[in-house]
Amino acid sequence: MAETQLVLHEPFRDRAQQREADALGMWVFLGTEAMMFGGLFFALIVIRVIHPQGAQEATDKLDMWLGGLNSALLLTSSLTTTLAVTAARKGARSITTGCLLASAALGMAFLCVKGYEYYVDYGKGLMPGVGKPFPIETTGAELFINGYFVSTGLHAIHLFIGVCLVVGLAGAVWLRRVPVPGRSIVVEMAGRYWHFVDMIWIFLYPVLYLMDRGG
Amino acid sequence: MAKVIRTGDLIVFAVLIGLLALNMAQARWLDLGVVSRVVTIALAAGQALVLLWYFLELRSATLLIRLVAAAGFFWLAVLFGLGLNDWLTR
Amino acid sequence: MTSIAAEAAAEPSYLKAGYTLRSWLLTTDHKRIAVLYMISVTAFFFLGGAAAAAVRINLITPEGAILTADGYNKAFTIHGVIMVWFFLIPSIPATFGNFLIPLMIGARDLAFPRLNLASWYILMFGASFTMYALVAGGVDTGWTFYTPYSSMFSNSHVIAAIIGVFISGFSSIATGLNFIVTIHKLRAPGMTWFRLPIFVWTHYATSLILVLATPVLAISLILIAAERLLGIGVFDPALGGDPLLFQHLFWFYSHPAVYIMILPAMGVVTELVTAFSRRRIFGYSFVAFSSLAIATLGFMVWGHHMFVSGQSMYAGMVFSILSFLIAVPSAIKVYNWTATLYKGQIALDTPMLYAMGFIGLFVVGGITGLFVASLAVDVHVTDTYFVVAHFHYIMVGATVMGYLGALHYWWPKITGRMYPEWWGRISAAFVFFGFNLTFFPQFILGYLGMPRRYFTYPPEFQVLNVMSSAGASILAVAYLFPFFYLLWSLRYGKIAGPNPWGAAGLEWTTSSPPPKHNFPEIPVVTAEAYAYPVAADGGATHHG
Repeated sequence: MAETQLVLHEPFRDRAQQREADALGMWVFLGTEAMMFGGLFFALIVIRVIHPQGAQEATDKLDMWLGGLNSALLLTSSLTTTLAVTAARKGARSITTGCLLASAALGMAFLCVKGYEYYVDYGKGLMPGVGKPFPIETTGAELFINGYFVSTGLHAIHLFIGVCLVVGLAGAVWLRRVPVPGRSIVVEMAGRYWHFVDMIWIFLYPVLYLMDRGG
Repeated sequence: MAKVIRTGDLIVFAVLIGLLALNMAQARWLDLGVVSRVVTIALAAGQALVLLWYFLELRSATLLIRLVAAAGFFWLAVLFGLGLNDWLTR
Repeated sequence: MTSIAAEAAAEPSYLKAGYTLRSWLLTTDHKRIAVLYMISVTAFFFLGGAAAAAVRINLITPEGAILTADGYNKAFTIHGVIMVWFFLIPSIPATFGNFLIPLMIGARDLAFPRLNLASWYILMFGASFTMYALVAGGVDTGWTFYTPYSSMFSNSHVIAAIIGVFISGFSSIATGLNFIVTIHKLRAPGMTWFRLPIFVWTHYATSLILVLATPVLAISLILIAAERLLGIGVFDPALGGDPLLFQHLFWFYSHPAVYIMILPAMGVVTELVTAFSRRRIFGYSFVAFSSLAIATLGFMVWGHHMFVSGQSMYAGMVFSILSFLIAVPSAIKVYNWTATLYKGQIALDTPMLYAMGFIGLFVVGGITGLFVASLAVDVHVTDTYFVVAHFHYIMVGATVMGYLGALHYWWPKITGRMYPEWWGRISAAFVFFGFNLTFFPQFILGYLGMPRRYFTYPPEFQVLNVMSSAGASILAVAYLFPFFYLLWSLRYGKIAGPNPWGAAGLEWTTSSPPPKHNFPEIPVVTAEAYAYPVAADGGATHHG
């Protein structure tokens, strides 16, 4: 079937070479993303180091159960993404589509929980610039919370991009624009990105919600 | 559907959730003092490694891809190590 | 080799593959994209140069000749921002790297041609924000955007400038990613790692820095913007933030960025030194690995920009020691270039003059780098013209020399025409003389205590400042020479053969200018790099 064949792009000599180049390109891209979030983690850790007391009091204001629920949602979405990749490799078109949509739904659920959490934070006066005055006097607490908003915000943007990507891909697989298993590498690459966004949260959650938590 | 669900993936998923639960539990109920930061990060790192090795398929990746992943961690270690070196010795 | 060139003539050259504007602006050919980059960075270079001219004219008199204090701040800021991010960073990699890497490794194109084109548009898009900041009234923070001034106090157009730099960073990342994948995956059969020209090795090392450091710049700029717009406080001591956090993040990018500027030039010089002394590079593997060593160590020395900033003494000592270490791989390169010259058949054509100029100025810049890496000396010269002179020796003296050397050496390959050799040599001599006259007095000024970034100075510094400004005017003329004679040569230059220099390297086996797909057939490589002697093939004047 012509449509299952991989389209060979200009500079490549053969399909294996193109596959390897795509895979390497994706990993290098993830490396750049890791460095970008790395700078943010560095800032958060520095705040914890210079203001342990303020950061701890700020941590206690965050709801570790909502954050934990979100962690579980994202880990589950990683499982469905893995299933989508397996299905794509086996050429199971409808299962691939279904699993991708499940991942997207779990990602949206994460964003909804996150939005609700922001709303609760707003009620507590944690949000910078709007709402009630900040509730904690201790130096560093407000700073830490602001860092929380920047980092979770940037993560949410990445996740939202992932959701759009995965929904689009699910449609493309369903409509055979991205035929499986011929071009299962596209599903694979999208999966890499998705898992990576999950991995950022795997670190954000403990650094923001769990570390130094008091009673 | 059955043919794409592999037991291995489910075990990995269970381990990921288990480590999450462990991390939440120690943060909520255990008072480990100074080592708690290390424990928290170690458990998260454990999750990340499992994710990388299985779901991100470093397990079957080429040496080059593994090197790229390792390089990311190496350079992050440089940023954190040399950077924190300043604040921790002021 | 000539037979390959003859076959290549069957396909029209990349310049003749289409004549419409559309065929240029929507091209995915790495050679055309390189030309787009070349035109843009040349424009940025003259723009940044105009700002430098304003600075130097102002400093002719002690009370400031033409600019207000505010205007002076804006002039040196725009000079720095444009020169660093829109000229030096993309200069050699995005033009010559883009043009040559596929040719040198025997590939048809970069791995991701559309991403390559996108990277040029991203740079232009970023530049438009920075240009807006310039037109709307300028920025006065210095290219370093230090907090808390940039985040809390400056009333100039910091946000627009930052957005411009932030966006242009993605262009760097895209280019670096493309090079890494290309060098790993698209080498021709037989082109092993140790047969690669050193130019490719240095661009690989550069790409590592581009992809690993640029994202950290991106996040520090996001934090400044968030601080300025929302007052999040990360760099604001009133909220418990630390301005030094910005400096750490900024220099984690900006020190390696210096190696983004110098490593590609080192690659160029290696090609020039071997081609014009007709010898294999001395100690190939040392030169190759020293590039990677520079790229790696380059990430571990950033704190030497912060010796007097209030970071801990202990951190200062660690950064000082690591800074001394990075001199080792740099020196390895200099020794190996020199050893390559020994008993070589040296021809002093224009590119070689630039290469020699590079080595001389790089050594001065490198040695003074050791001065400022020493904690005690640095306390004396921090924020003086000594530092200004030091980094201009590296970034202008070395990198721009490398850029001009590359421009002349590969001009026949890019355009199919020779440049006028006599004019080339004259302007190379003028560049060298003008550069030294501009910047050497600044070492003395700095050592005597003249601080940088002031629009006035005590009258006793006037003689040296006038010398520096006089040198700058010579330099300006010397930079304009190539601009005009290279344009002239596009029409009237002598037609170049495939290999006018008799140089080794796959790029010289295909026609000048190369066909759209570089090689009629993917070449099979059987020999090491720099397998001299190679017969010259038309165009040049000196090789008999």
